[in-house]
Amino acid sequence: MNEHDLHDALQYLDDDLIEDVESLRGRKRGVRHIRAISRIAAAACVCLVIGAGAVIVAQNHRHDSAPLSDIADTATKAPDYLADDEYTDGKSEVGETTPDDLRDFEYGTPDTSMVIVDGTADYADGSTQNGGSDCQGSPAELPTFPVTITDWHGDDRFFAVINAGDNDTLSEGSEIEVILPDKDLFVAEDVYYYTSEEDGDAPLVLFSIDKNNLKERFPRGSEVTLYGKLNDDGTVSCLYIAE
Amino acid sequence: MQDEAIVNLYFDRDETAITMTKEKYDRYLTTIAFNILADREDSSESVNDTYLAAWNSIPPHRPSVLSTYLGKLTRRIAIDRFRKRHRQKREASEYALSLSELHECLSANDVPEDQLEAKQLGQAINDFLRTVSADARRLFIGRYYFLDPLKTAAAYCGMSESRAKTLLYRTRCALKEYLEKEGFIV
Repeated sequence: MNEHDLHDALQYLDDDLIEDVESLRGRKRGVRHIRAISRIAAAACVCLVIGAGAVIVAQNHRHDSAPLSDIADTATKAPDYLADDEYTDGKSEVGETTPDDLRDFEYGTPDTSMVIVDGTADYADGSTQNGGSDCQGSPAELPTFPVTITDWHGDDRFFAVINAGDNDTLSEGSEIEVILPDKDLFVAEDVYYYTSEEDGDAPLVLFSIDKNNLKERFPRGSEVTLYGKLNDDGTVSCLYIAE
Repeated sequence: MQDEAIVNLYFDRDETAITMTKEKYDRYLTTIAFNILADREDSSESVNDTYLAAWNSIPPHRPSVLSTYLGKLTRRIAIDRFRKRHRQKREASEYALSLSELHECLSANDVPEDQLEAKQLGQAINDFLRTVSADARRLFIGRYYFLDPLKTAAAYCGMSESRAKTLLYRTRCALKEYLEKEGFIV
């Protein structure tokens, strides 16, 4: 048997295995982008409806029970994104699309609050599926990992390699979502992720974002802090990155 | 146009089938051929041969997934063309020519057995690939079935080139071990 035989044998690969890779090759960035935008748009529609409903109900309630000056005070008060207790379910959920998100997404208003960049990928085995983030709570409540941006790779796609140091929770195969502290990055959603044990066995997190200013914001050597949500099995499912 | 409709055109012996196939899959098939041949003209001819092969094989064959069916045809045609091209280069030498002639004598009787063996080997590789991680499987198929450059395959698998290289190496070693265990001579 030689290499030609192996090539000939690959001709008999099952269609489902080939299809799986075909979809990956065909998807590339554009499709991911469209899909993420669709999710955002769908979430935005739902939140608009819920938000509008909540405002109407609240105003009706206050018209019934509060003086006009109170209503004016409430209307001018800026909602607090991270410590919000007035949105849909009364809980503060980082990443939940709020009316503020919609405003910032539409107008690109700078905002220091955390937004989720959903970088999860579809896997044939169903281990990770696209969808909303399960990141909850403010970054202050999560374990932190001080790290250093060690390198950037790629010509048209930026790969950030983060040396996660002695962090035991990040290991080969960890599934993470990367959350970036910039509204601009909300549309630069194409995040890949994986961990490796290259460069002196230090766990590395690598993620790529096609269209962003991350490379400028976090140049090589930048000291950044990761905030992660620790899962029951010891892995980290969410990562925030902050300067 | 949906694949099923295109296949129906083949069954109706409607030549629009080839136009539709070309419209939908030309780029996809040309990439596969070019990855093998690294020559635009040869790739284009291989893809044209694919359309002819599809026309001649559908019917009676009704592919369940048209893209993979056409991809397999292109791959086989391009690999045959690649081998033929290299054989022709070797024919400049009389020694090489004699080898080629002897090889043809040997291979004439071996064809059915070779095909059987290729199919069995293919099945073993299928079985093996279902035991490895999704990343390893996708990378292996991307690199060795679609023959995508390592950098490209690494990118769409979401990993660095060095990581991909390491993973491919491990997968190849594991495949070798698996094939030895299964009784294939490696």
